[in-house]
Amino acid sequence: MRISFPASSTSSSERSRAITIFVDGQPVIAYEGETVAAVLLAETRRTFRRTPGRNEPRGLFCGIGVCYDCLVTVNGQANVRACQTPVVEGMRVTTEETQRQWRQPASSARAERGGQADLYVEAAVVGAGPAGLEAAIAAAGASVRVALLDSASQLGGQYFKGPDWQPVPQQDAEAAALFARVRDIPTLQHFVKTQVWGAFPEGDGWLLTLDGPSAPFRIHTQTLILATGAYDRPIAFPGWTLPGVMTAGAAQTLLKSQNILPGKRVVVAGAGPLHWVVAAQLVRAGAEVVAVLEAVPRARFLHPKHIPALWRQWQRLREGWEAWRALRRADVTMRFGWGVLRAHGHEQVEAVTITPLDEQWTPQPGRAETVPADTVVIGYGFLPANQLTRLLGCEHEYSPRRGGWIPRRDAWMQTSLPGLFAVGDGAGVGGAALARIEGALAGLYAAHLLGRLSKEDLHRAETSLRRRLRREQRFATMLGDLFTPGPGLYTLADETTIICRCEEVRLGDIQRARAAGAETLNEIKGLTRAGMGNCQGRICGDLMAHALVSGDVATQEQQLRNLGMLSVRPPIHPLTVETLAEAAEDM
Amino acid sequence: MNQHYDHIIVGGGFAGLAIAYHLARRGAAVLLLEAERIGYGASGACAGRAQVSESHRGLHMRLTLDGLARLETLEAELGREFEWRRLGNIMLIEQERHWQWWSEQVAYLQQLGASAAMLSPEELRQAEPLLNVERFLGGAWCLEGHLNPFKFMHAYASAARKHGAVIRQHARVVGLVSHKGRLIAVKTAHNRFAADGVIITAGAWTGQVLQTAGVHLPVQFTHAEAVISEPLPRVLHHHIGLADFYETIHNASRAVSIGVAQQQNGSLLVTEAVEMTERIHRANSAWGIPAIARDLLALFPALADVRMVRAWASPSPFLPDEQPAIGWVPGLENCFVATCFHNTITTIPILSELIAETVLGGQPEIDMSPFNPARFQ
Repeated sequence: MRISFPASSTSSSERSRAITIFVDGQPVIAYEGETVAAVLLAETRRTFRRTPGRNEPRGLFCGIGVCYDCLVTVNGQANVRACQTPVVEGMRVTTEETQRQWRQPASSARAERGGQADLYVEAAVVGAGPAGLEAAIAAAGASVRVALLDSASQLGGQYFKGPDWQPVPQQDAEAAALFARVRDIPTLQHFVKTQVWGAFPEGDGWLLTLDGPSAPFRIHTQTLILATGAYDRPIAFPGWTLPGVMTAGAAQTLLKSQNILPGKRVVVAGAGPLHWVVAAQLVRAGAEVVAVLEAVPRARFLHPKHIPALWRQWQRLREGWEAWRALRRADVTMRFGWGVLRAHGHEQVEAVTITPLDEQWTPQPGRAETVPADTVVIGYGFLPANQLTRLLGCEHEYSPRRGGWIPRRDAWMQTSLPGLFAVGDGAGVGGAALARIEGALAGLYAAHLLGRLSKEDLHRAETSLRRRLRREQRFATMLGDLFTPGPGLYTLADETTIICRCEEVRLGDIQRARAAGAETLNEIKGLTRAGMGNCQGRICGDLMAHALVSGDVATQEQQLRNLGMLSVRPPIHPLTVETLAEAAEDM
Repeated sequence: MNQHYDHIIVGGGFAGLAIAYHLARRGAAVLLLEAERIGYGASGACAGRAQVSESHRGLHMRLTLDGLARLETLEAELGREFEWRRLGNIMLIEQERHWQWWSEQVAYLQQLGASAAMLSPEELRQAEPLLNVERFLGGAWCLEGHLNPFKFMHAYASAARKHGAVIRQHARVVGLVSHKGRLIAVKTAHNRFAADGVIITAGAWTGQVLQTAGVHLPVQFTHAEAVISEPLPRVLHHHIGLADFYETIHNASRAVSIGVAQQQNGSLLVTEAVEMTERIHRANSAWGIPAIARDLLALFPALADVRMVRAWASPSPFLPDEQPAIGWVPGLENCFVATCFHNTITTIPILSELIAETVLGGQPEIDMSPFNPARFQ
């Protein structure tokens, strides 16, 4: 359902041009700028496909291009992500199973792609969210030749995301200032709609392989700053693959960027600030929020030890307060120490069982309740998008409070590999403000390494950043202390619950592989195919690991370290044979 | 810590695990040390093809055909499934002299009772409707086999464990300790193990391991990459390879020769981009993946829209004469080496048993002396 706008809303309430697309042969009105996913949901089509293995319905889940579950056929091309594909006039979208068509490649493909095959720069920045923007600006501001890359169609990442039907003015102004800087600095080139599919060491520097309409095939760079952000931590529970279960990020993207109401009767469950904000946005947009469930007990929020971390976080406190007030005004049920236990339904969510949790977040199903709902939004924090640091073989450490496996870094955000930096949520979840400071520090130090910034200038620029860095680190630590999932959160799945959504691998399959002698995640992957699919383990990796540990928190952490990380392989996003073939070099 | 075993096996690939099974089954106390994890080398980075077509005549062919027969019953023997199935292989032939060679090979295979035939371009088209046959004179077809390499290894591993073998992963051997021409201990970073005999099955790493005891075996390796697609409906019915594979990759610093088969789950597994290297590593390259895609597209233009979801890479070991090394290591009377196999998946079920018999002091009925590593002395 499209959101009907309140009278007080800003200019962005005006819809763009109406066009017609065809969904399973039927003409459907869509608006330019909408994604295929948004149009399907506006048409109340929640099932986007059926799975090849078990014929189960699937719809929008992560909403930001990570999970590869919202696959549809677009103009005859199978397995296209609905959430990442903008509609165009006359587009033909198929959700029903169709015979896959085999076609001859377009001979003009290479000619269509503009620009050169190879670009040489001094610094490449992957990801144009808060961290990447600051890194690129800091480095290019010191005359470093920089290439800034992002897969989205606009700068800003998940944080500065527009258009917003009710924008936060300060966030907007900050974004506008950063975008203007990116456009103004002459040594800074940026490429949007550009996916980095591989990263390789090359001499003393790095080689990136890219896919984008105006991007070169390869960027050769002396320094590399990875600012790849984070995505919602998936949590597996019975029914979590039903259409209608989605992440807080998916719900927020639908609300903020697409003006689409994710559902009518919504249960919002999670831990931490984001799902509260999303719940308030849902209420403002006209959804009925059945309940907001916070896993953390109320008493833990009120602990005085958090006060120092909240000092000077006025903006955040105000946002939190406003969200809370909106929910109170709408008389939304808010429960602390509660969570989701199970989603029910045949083709989509019809009801949700919610449950109180103990201190370890373990469900106490004796007092569980089942409520009718068509949508479950889950927001249990974030996982770092650490594929590139893993691919390149940086040393990682297991840090549950920062989202799991994160690269080791020095004070300048440099990883264990010289000249390779990792900043922002992708290097440890800590929020946008922390990400910006980390980005700036890395950009400055890269400029220093490249001989474009003297030691004195580096230290002058550093001083105020370091003070703010400490403040934001305190805040991030507080969030980590409060909201890092208790082990009980990972006990919701039963033996038949899907863990790997791509390859339809169930918890029982994973447990059997373990019992058969597999000791690490990579062996379980080899035996079960979990993690081998389109998303390359982004969704199931953390779930697989947690499904195999037991004991107290400290024991579990040690077991998680021993299970290791799934290996990451290029292409880190699926690419067609034709696209890859275009990038082939003459041998 | 100083533990004593009858046999220590160094390297947890196909060979090491299968030998561990046969030794343990015969009652030996076996310890297998794997530096990383089971199948970390070429065994875990292979297409799962149980090759028959390219076998050299004589001993190789015998091992291959016996192995193929053995694979038919091996799942039952080991008590684990590994997705064994029969699958045809087609070698695509572009040049007249290859047509000649393959015609003779097919006749020889037929003589030995293998199912094989030469295919005309029209027959190729019927066998693989999506194949662009225009470059080819035809193909050489042979019925081979296919399995899931991970499950294959784990089948051997679990059967070995069942018979009491100890398999230690993440236990890299850092030194072989010898005394008066005998190995007396095997050292890892944290432990030291003693055994009556040591068997080195470390694939590309075999040269490095033996070097720690001062023995030189000239194990070389190429670096090979492969790419895997999303699952597809049934589009391929055979394993497809190119008849000029060895010529293409021989001595080239970089080369691509396509081999492709559709896996049980529907993915296409496409081998391989090959690079000469001095360094053992498992990283993919920026040139290899696009180069494989380009050559695949030339063979199967209709697969242009198929998505490639991941890739892998591995060192692939060989010896200068391109024959395996199987036998006692010269100068170390209780150290056996087995590496650089041909048709590894097909021959290992037989070879591993022969090796176990040899190591236990028996006289196996098949003479493996052509593979004696002493030939490099």
